[in-house]
Amino acid sequence: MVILITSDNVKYVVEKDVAELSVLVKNMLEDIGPSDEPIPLHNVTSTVFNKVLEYCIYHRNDPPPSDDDEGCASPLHKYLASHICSEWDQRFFDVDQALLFDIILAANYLDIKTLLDDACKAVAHLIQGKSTEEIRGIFNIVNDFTPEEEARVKKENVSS
Amino acid sequence: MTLSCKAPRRVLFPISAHRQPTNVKKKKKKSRQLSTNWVIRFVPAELWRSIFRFVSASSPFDESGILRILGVSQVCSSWRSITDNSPELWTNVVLRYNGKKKRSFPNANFHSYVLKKSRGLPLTMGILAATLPTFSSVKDTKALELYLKAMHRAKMLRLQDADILYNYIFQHSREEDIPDLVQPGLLLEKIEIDMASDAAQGSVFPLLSRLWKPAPLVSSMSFFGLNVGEIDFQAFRDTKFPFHQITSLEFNCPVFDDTLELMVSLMPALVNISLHSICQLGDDFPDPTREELLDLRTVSLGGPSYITSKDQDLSPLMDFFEYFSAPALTTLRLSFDSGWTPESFTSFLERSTARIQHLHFDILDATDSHRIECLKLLPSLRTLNLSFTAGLTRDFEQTSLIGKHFLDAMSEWDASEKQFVICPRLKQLTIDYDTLADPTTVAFADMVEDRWRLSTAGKKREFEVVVKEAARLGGSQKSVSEMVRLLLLQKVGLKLVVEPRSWLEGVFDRNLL
Repeated sequence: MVILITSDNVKYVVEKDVAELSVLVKNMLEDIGPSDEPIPLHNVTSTVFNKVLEYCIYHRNDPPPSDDDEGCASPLHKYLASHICSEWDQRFFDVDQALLFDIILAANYLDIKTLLDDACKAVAHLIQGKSTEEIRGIFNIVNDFTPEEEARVKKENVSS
Repeated sequence: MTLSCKAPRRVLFPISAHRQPTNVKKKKKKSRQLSTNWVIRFVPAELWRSIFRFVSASSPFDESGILRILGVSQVCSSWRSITDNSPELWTNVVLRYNGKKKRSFPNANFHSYVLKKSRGLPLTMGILAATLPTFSSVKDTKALELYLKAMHRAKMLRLQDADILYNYIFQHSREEDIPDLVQPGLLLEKIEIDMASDAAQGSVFPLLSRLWKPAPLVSSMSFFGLNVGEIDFQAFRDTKFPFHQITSLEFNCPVFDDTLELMVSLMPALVNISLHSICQLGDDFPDPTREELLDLRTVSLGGPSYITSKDQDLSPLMDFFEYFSAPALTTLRLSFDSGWTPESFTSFLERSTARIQHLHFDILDATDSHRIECLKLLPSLRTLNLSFTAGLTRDFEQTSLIGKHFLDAMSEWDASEKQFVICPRLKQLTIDYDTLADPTTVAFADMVEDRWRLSTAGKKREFEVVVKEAARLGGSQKSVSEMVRLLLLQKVGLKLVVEPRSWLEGVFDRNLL
């Protein structure tokens, strides 16, 4: 068992194989050696960590991700990888946007590649099929282009 | 507070946390709204880059990914900067002639923009046409010329119809007017081609072949279209295509038997070969000269979307085994056809001393007897896949479903040898749930249980089952009998994968049964 403490001081006792899905935790465990010392997770709150833990427990027996995603995979492989998502994962990521981005930031901090990829896919799914204006609305982004840039953008659209 | 995690698939709550009475109504979750530009301020650019990679993902030779990225790049200056600095988002570039009256020619400015954004990265390039374009003016050829100039950057190239190039060449009145655009494809790994009409090949290939003079990395070839015959092959041969480099050869259309034999003879390094079907040239086709393909590992006969045309004289796919021997062959995919005979296969196995370990024998049109006949020849088999991928519609004859005859044969135990009679080393079996002849019984699960219980290696049982098309379970109690029994076996240790996860598994997870 591994003891983890979130930024809001909530203590978790987690099975080692689950905790080690996080490369950050795994490296820290290797660095400190056998110890009962709790590992602090400075950038993750308990609300977000509950979700992270739920994901890690469900996916604990999955095969490790391959390096193919880093660029050597075929375009078809990448395309399939970008779509295949189980029903469970779909339900898991059916959360409000703030929590979805918190999960992404936590996965990035904890270095959990599969969670990070799956959460990125969930955000990508929100973008796909939407117009530029719709995307701005979904993420509450302000159009900050200068009039000259705006004119260039319009020209690109005519070309495509 | 301390949170503990012991049980799988469950988040446990704080040991010392205040426990709420179970009858307290849960507060409805409030959806938190992101403040203006929160995602720009707090989500780092590297993460957006990862997200945009998924946004841009599209099947190869589909321009929709690029168009999505173009949309993303126009949202705000921050995203613009990220997409500008991510050339990998712009590498799936397709030149499409859509055949509509308006804008039937691709816009050269747009393609120039995309090629610039992709910087020097290798490209997935496709030239596709719904109808053949006729280049009536110089303006119409601009985008194509831009493409031909960039073609040396292609890692993967699909030329959907080589006649597009013929029409382009035809636009020039004299041969010397054709610009020298195509440079050697030093990055080219895979070429996919729908051959030009016979008449056009003399013109198209001298232009196209500059791509493989040289193309040191090219190792994969794929053909599609109507069929591939000797003339097509000759066009490549005349232009010195590096056949000797090819390790992967794929035909998504019929190929003539003589052409196939010639091609295989020129590709001694083949590792994978995939055939759609074989056209018979005539009765007087001489006995094939058998090549020994020392590196060949995988053969696929009648792969996905395998549909035979009744208009063509097709040889039995099994005849392919007449052309070669392959001592290293381990993986085989078979589709049944009416000329099925195990004789060529038997003779091939004897000649090759191949030890096939992985077999996908498509369920389409084969019967229990065919399956048994085939499996008897493959005692080294480790994985057996009987799922359906050969056609487009799931319309099976009753006789092709997995029935009692097959299940009985798979359960047959040789007491003297202490092993199963068929496939004694089988470790994994894959089926589609809707191909069980009678899912109201538990005959399949009985066979699985027999094999699983008797497949002990040391203390570990080494037999697993993959059930696909579980979404086709149906809702009646009877139709789920097999699945219920398999899930019960899973509870006691059988490794069972159900794809997609079925509603029944959810019931089991919650211990409702």
